[in-house]
Amino acid sequence: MESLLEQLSEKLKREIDDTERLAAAQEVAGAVIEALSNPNASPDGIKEAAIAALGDAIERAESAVAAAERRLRGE
Amino acid sequence: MASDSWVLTSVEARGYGGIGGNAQTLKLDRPVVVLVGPNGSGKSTWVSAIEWAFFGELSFGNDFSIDELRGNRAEAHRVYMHEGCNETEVVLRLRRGSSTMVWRRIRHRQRPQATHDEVTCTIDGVPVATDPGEVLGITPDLFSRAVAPRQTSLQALISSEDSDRNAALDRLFGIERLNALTVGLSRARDELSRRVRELEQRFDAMASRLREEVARRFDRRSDARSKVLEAGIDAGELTLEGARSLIASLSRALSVDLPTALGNISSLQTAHRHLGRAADQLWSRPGPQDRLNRLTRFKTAVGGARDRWQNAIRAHKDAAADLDSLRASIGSEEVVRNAVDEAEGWLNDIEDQLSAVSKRAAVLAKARDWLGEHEHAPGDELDCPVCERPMLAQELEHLVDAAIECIQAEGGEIARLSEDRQKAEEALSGAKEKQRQLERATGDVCDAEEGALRRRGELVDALQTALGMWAAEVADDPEKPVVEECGRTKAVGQQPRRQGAEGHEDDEALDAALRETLAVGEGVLASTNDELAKASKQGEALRERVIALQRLIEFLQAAGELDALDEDVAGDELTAARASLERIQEWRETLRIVTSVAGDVSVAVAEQRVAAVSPKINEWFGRISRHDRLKGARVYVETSRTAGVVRNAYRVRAVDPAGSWEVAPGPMLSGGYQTILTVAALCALADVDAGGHQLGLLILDEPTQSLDPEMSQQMGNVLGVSAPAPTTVVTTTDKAFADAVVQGAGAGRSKLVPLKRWTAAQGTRFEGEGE
Repeated sequence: MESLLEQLSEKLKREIDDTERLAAAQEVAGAVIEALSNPNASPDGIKEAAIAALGDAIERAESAVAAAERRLRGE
Repeated sequence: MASDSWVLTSVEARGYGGIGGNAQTLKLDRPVVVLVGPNGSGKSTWVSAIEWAFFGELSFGNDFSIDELRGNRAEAHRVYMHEGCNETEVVLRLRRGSSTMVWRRIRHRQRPQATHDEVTCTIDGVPVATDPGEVLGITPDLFSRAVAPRQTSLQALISSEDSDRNAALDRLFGIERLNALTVGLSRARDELSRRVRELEQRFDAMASRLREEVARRFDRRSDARSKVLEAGIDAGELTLEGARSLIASLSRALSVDLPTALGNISSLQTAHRHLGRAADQLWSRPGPQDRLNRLTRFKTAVGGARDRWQNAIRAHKDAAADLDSLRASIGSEEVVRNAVDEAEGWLNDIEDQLSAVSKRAAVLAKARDWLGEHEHAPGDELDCPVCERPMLAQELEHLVDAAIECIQAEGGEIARLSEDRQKAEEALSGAKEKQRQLERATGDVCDAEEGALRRRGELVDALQTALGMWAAEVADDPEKPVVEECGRTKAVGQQPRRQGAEGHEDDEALDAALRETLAVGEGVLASTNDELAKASKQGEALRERVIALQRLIEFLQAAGELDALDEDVAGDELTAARASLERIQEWRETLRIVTSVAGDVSVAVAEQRVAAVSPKINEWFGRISRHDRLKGARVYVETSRTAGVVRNAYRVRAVDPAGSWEVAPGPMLSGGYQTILTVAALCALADVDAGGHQLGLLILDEPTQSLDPEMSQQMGNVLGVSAPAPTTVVTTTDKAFADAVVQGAGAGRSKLVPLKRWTAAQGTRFEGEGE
């Protein structure tokens, strides 16, 4: 798995110039490779790990959109 | 082979699976150990005990699931424990050079979860971490692929069903995880895309509503701007400062005191309300309305009184003129009175005559009645009752009759007198009528004179009332000349009016004064009306300015609402939402790249494995095969990309030495050669994967399915000669195969471990044990 992660990291470095995006991509790669090391790793487990690697970005976006909707409704 | 691998030298077990409560030991003191025994004798149990010792459970892979037994339910974890045993223990002993590792796992029935197992590992007596990955570089996945492939995997490998075979190959070659990686990343990308789409739709809907609201407020502001410009406000004054300036100007013009602080729309609206009330008041009652009302009342009251007085004077004059005219027509009162007297005298005279005649007639009638009542002889004489002379009675009768006839006959004296009396009566009546006409005319003159005097008094009263009004309401300066004139006129009117012609002079004097007063009043009224018209115009202009102020405030309000919306658009929430969405979209792009890269890496890894495994498979297949053409095998990888998802699939083929003919497992390859191909793949994988861990062990569980005795013996011999791992454990029910393995390996490098048929009472037992 470490080898796989290394290969992923190397390839990501070649594909992504932006430092911040590269860090994010490597974070996702690390998370999914860790999930992959689980004996019962499954595609859905990988998916959950990748989504979880986003942190609360989606929840924050949903909260932000909901807050904006409330603002527009004048609440 | 890796020289630093740990070599498993013994497995000691008690209470595990079919192994009973008494500890038994499988010594693996040769490179090749063959467990041989009938079905159900416990061969697979012994080899599975190794995996259980390391990991606490067995990895059954896709061909068997114990998921429903998982969780914290204790029973699920007791499936590995021998029934009736309270404890299960497996001890593995390994050797590397002069070092010895002892790996021990004990499970208790009361707490059978793997997390509660007692696991220890010592190397040369020193405890080390109980992590097989850390100590041996082995994981459950690697173990089930490279060390102890399941029987079911072997069966799948030789299955004629492509899907089953390929799945098994993928699992064995480790590609299953690579595919799980790419599929999982793709699902994550799809999931993220879905949620991003939902958020984008919500954001777009929000932006759409915002645009509509902006358009609405923009229209409202444009409309308000048009109206305020139409109201006469310059474009340069459409500001808060412009509104303040206009309010200051209006407050001065309308004399309204306003608060100086006009900082917001609300304060402007308050100021506008005050100014609006003042402007409306000015507009509805512009200028000296009270003066106008007083002058109007004066004009109406005094002018009216004068008119009525003058009318009365004219009526008096007319009545006097009528009287004079009547006198001229019928005579004066004296003449008429004389005529009446004369007619009365005439009538009285006629009445007297008629009375005398009537008396005479009555006497004559009596005389005739007497003569008729008394008998007289002819010649008798009688004294005439009239002349008293003696007359013959007969003659007398004739005379009496003649006299009566003369009085009473038609055209007689009575008739004549009656006619005269009628004429006299008519003359009297006519004279009296004239007398009455004169009396009425005279009365009319008197009445008219009285009326004129009364109206004169009323006029003086009206003047007095007007003076009282001015005294009560305080006359304006412009009215004062009218008041003075009014006072003087009233004084004239209050002087006693003389009689006759002098009275007329007095009236003339009063009327002259009155006309002057009214003329002065009319002049002041006209100037007051001018003043009022001017004030009205000014009030209207101010009112229009106040309306313009209202339009300006409405414009500022509409502009403010639009600005507020602009602030909303740039508000923290919207900015944050937009930024969050952009971040997620970046994440989506990042995930897309990771997925793509993972696919590429997956392909690269798969190809690496192909490159490593393919020569080994070729080598192993060539050793085992007795086919006259199919002497080798190769592996290649097929990669598919669907919607950005990379999937790798291995293909294993038996080939001729020239590589011109290849046969896929399935109907075109016999079952035996499929088994050989499978065992070759397993041995090749064990060989290759041995570089990835430090456990020098390969377990081949029943590898002879579908093999004929000759082929079985060939395989056994090859496995014995070329043991694929430092310790190779083979289980089989085939004694000949077992012998071939031992024979191929040589007695010094191998041993046969026969097992007895398993019984519930005694469990798994090695032959010779307990005998």
